[in-house]
Amino acid sequence: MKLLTHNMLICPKKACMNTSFPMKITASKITQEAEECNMAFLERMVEKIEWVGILSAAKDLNMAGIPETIPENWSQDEMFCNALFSILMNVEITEGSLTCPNCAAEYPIANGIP
Amino acid sequence: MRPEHQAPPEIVYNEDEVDKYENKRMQQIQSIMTDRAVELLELPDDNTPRYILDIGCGSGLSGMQLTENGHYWIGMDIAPAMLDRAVERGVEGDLMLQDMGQGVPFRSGIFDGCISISVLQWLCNADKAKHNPRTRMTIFFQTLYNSMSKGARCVFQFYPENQTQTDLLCSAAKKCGFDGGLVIDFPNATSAKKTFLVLSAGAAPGTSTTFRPPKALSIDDGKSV
Ligand SMILES: [Zn+2]
Repeated sequence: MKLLTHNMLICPKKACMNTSFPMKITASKITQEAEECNMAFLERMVEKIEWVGILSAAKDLNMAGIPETIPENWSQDEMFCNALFSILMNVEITEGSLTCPNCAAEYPIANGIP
Repeated sequence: MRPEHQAPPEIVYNEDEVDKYENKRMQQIQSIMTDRAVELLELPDDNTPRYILDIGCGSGLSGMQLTENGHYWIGMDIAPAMLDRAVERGVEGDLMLQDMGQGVPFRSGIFDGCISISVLQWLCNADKAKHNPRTRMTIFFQTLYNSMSKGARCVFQFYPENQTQTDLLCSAAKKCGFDGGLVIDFPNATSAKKTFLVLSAGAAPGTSTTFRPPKALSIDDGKSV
C-alpha cells in the first residue's frame, strides 16, 4: 500500500464515513520503490490529498522533516516535488495494519494489500 | 454454467481458476474490453495522468492496460488469489481486498474515473445468507458516487443475465445520483456483443445538460472483437 492510497482511504463502515480519516498505520515491513516524479500527476493529486493524512502517516512511520503545511509555490521547488512524490508513491507498506480512529477496527495489510 | 451461479467470487477465483483466467485468449479479450472501457470514460486528451479506480481488478490485467494508457490506479477485488497474482505480476497500481457490496472505502471526490470489467453481475447475487442484493447495490453505488469527482465517469463492462438484472442495476445507480445508461457494442453479434453500463457522477463542471452515454460500436464502424 502506497501512502497516496492511505491518503484516500476511510473505514468502510457506514458510521465511520466522516470520522475515520486518517487511518492509523502500523507497519512491520516497508519497502522502497524508485519511481521517478511525474509532475503532471503530482500537480493533479495535490488538490486531492489531505495534508493532515501525510503528517499522520509520517508520524506513524517515524519520518521526519515534513512541513506542517504544504509550502506556497511548492511546485517550483524541484527537490520538494521529488520528495513529495516519493512519499506518496515510493513508500510501500508491505506488512502491517490500518486502524480506524473512530471504531478502532483493525484491517491487516498482507503482501502489500490492505 | 455462469461462474456467479457456482459459488461466491472469492471461492470461484481460486488458484486453479486464476490459471485458466491467464490464458492468452482471455487476456486478449480483457485488454480489448479494458481499452474500450477507458475510451468510454472519454477523459480529456491532455496528457495528464488520471487517478482511476478499477473495481474487480482481479489479477491486474485491466490495470496494466490503464498503466499503458498513462494512468495511475487503485484496484479492488474480493479474491485474494487474484490479488496475489497481480502482486506477482508487479502491477503499478495499488491493490485492495474489498467486497464491492460492502462499499468503496474512499474519501469523497478523489477519482477521475472508474472502470470495471466482467464484475458487476456478481452484485446481483446473494452468496451469503446475510446478503441482500438490493442493499448491496445501494451501498456500492452510494459509496462509489461519493468517491468520484464531479462529472467523473464509471464504465462497467458486464454480463447481465436478463433484463430484470440490468434494470435493477440501472435504477440502483440512478437512485444514488448517477446519470447514464447502457452502451451495447455489436448488439447483433452473439460473441462480439458487449454490454457497458456508463455512468456519470453528476454533471461535469461547466456543463448542465443531462449526461447521455456515448455511441455504441456496430459492425459498420469497421472495428471487430
Ligand atoms: Zn471504523
